[in-house]
Amino acid sequence: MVTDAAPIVFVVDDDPSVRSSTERLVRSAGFEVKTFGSAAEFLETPRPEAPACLVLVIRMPGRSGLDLQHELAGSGIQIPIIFVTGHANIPMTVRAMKAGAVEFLTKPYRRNDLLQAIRTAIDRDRDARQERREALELRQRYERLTPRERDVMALVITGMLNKQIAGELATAERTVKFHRAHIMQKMKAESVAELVRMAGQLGLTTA
Amino acid sequence: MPAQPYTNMERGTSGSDPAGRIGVTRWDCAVDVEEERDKWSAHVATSEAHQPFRGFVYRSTGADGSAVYISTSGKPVFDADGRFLGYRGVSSDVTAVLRAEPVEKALQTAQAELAHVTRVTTLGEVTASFAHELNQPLAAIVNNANACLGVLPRGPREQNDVRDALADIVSDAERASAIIQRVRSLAERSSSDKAPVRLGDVIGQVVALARTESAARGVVIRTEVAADVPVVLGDPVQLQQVLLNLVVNGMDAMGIMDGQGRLLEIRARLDTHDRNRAVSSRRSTRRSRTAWAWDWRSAAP
Repeated sequence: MVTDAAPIVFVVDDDPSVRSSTERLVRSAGFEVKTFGSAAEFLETPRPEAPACLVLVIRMPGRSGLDLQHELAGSGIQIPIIFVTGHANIPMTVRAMKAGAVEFLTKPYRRNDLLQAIRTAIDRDRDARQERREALELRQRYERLTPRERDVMALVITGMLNKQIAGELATAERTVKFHRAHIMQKMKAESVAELVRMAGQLGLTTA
Repeated sequence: MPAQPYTNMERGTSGSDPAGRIGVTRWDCAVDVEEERDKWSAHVATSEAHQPFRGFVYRSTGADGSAVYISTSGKPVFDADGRFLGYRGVSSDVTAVLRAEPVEKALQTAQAELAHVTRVTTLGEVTASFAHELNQPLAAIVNNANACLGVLPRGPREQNDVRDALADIVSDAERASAIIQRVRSLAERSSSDKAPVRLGDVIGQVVALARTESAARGVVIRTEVAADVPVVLGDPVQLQQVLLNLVVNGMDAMGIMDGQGRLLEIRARLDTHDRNRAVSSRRSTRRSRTAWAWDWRSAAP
């Protein structure tokens, strides 16, 4: 398992004093912080590979926080968002939470409310990154299979016996056995059950 | 208004049926002498002093027994030797005008309400922006104090005093913010509602509101809404209020003119050259004809 780099908290707020005070507050809890004065500035800056979350103010000149959330989702950038606003209304809150926000805080918020939300968000991002890494790894393993091995795997995960598979593919049972061993090795699967689970994650049909 | 020529001298009188009233005094046919003693005693004193009077209103009874209000004006008539012969004057039935007064009162109430809406709306907007501006530094104060609390190690008593002070800064700033939020939510209830508005509708509603007033003042209101005036985004109540104020101001300004030719024009048109939305008033004088006109200019989309 790959260990993650130190988590990082991004803060986007147009008000300089709110921005710097948020930076100090988050840093006081031991997090690394990077701040931005606008949504555009955040989008333009390359982000390091580390579990992260975004503390985002709703009302800003130019792109609003909700706009940025929408834009990030649209371009496939997955980062948990904690929304912060001076004055929340229900439609605004509903929209933000529906779009997957971790938390919605009203300024001034309590220290622990923000820090708790940040911890939750970073955990969520760490899990999501782990999942994405595993999915990528699994995909790479599957891509190392030969076309014939993929044909055999498609039948193995339906629960067919080697003999049945041999009949289906018009080949010898011994050959199927040989392919199956290779598949299990290349996919790093301990059992047929695990292989079935992997096939599910890869989006292969068991029909 | 049906003006009835006055019948005869002092002993004559007028009313809805002048011919039938010859030989009767005003106070004989009036039915409000008892309820309005002061008015009548002043009037009787004027008559006995042979002074002219103008626009004296009293209540009488019409042919069908309903209340009829009569406005009467009279001048004393003297012979060549200066001897008083009596009064000559005119009376008219002003019942319809007086009946319209409650409507006029309702109009004034509506105007006052509209003016109030505008003031409150402006106040609401100012408060909302004020609340936002003030909440920002308060949030920063809370964050900074909390950040200090986060890094300050527990230690000697002096440090605990610093901790307590920081905690107080946090709670006081939170309290201030809570007050602002309360004021803000109060003000928010009266914020303006922008909606697509047809200027023709707004003008129509204002003309309807001003109808009683304009009729009483003898002002003709003419409206002209160009077919290509687009639907605009605005608060219909506020737009009504603005236009109604202009109409009332225009009618006020025409008050000094003779009754003839009081014309108020309201025009709405699309001005493609001027991109500013504007309402402008213009007074045009043409010999005996003076009119107040409003141009409601709307910018091209």
